[in-house]
Amino acid sequence: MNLRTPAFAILFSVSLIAAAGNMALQSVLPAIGREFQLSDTLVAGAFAISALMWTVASPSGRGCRTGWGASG
Amino acid sequence: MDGGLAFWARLSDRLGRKRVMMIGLGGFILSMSGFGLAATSGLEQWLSAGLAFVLMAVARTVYGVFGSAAPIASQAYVADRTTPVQRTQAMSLLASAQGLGTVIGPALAPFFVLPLIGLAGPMYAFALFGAVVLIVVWRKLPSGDVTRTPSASGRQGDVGKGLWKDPRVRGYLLYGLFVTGAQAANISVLGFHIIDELAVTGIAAREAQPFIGIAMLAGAAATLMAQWGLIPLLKLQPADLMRWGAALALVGNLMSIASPGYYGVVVGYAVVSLGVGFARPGFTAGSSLSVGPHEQGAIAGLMMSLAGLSFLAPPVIGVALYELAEPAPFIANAVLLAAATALCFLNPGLRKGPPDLPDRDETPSPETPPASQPGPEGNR
Repeated sequence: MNLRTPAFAILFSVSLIAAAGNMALQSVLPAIGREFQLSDTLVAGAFAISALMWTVASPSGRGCRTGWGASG
Repeated sequence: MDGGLAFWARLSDRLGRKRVMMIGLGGFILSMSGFGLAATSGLEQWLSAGLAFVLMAVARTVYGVFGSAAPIASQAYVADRTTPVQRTQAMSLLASAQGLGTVIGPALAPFFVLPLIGLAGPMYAFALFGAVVLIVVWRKLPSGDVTRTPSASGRQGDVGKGLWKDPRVRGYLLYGLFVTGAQAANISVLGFHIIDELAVTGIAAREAQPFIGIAMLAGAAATLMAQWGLIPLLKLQPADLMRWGAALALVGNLMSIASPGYYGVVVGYAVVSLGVGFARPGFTAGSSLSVGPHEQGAIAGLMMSLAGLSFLAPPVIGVALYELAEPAPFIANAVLLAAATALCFLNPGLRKGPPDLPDRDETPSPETPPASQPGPEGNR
């Protein structure tokens, strides 16, 4: 695969947008929390938990047992 | 704990890379627009602040579940279509795309804090960008003409159970916990700290967004300069990276204590980020080089779990300390980072670093994702 092909440029933009959105979300969070007049600790706590939800709630745990992953 | 990664890797082996990429982008669009809508309904008082905030957290969870799908599928797509020599370069380029994203994200966000949509604006903008990328992937990305090589990250064995107790890696884990925990606290306190510093000068929270964007941009740029500029240029090795990384992050936190104004906060955060850009590749590579080839999957999983733990409790503790007293989280971080620096000299494994073998390069490779991400993603 040539790294100058349009296909690679598409992959580049996929990775770029995922990281950019994550950072943008993090950057507006404190101001929204303050506008909502919520406690800073509550804002940080709710987002720490939801950011990590995939580590506990991701389908992979079930997947292993029900044979979801073909190449396991 | 790297369940998400392994799941998406396996699903992309089965369904195809392109489909999983599209699923990931779909989740991204859903998460961003849902977050935006929830924020708008709270800001416009269509819903109570509490309910709107719960919906925002749910939307963030959607990102957490789908966030790794598109990057993992992209890597697998590249792996199917490249020779091993090409692959290193391609993976480095994909990692640099993520790095560029960490710089561009906070830099772009303030431009979309517009009238009517306000602070939710950036989320709508990124949902729209995501939709454009999704359409381009759907219409333009070739698929189906190669054999899928099963993803390495989809395979997990029982090798290395209890590896965390192993004296070869214990020092690295403890160091990693201190440094990543301190970084997580710094990231989560940053926005609130800037809003409060600017409030003293009469700038409202809503107008503080560009200032937060600049600070995050400076931090992300400093991390990337260390991770992808200085490390390969100076051929730095894990033992040095860990010493310098923890010490720089310590200095950055001391600066935030000594000079609390906006300028001090930004420069302090940039110095912390520079240190993190050395420290995280340092301990990730160091721990990996300290174990055998058959334990590589286990040590990578362990490092992901560590990053997960570090981004769970420390952000909450950091912000709670901040609410108690402004300098408190920086003092706590300074203590953690002083302990991490001391560990580099006191722990025999960390002091010597991994064995310097002639047939391998001990300098961390630029394939690793950017350490500046505000979540466990940077430890992969």
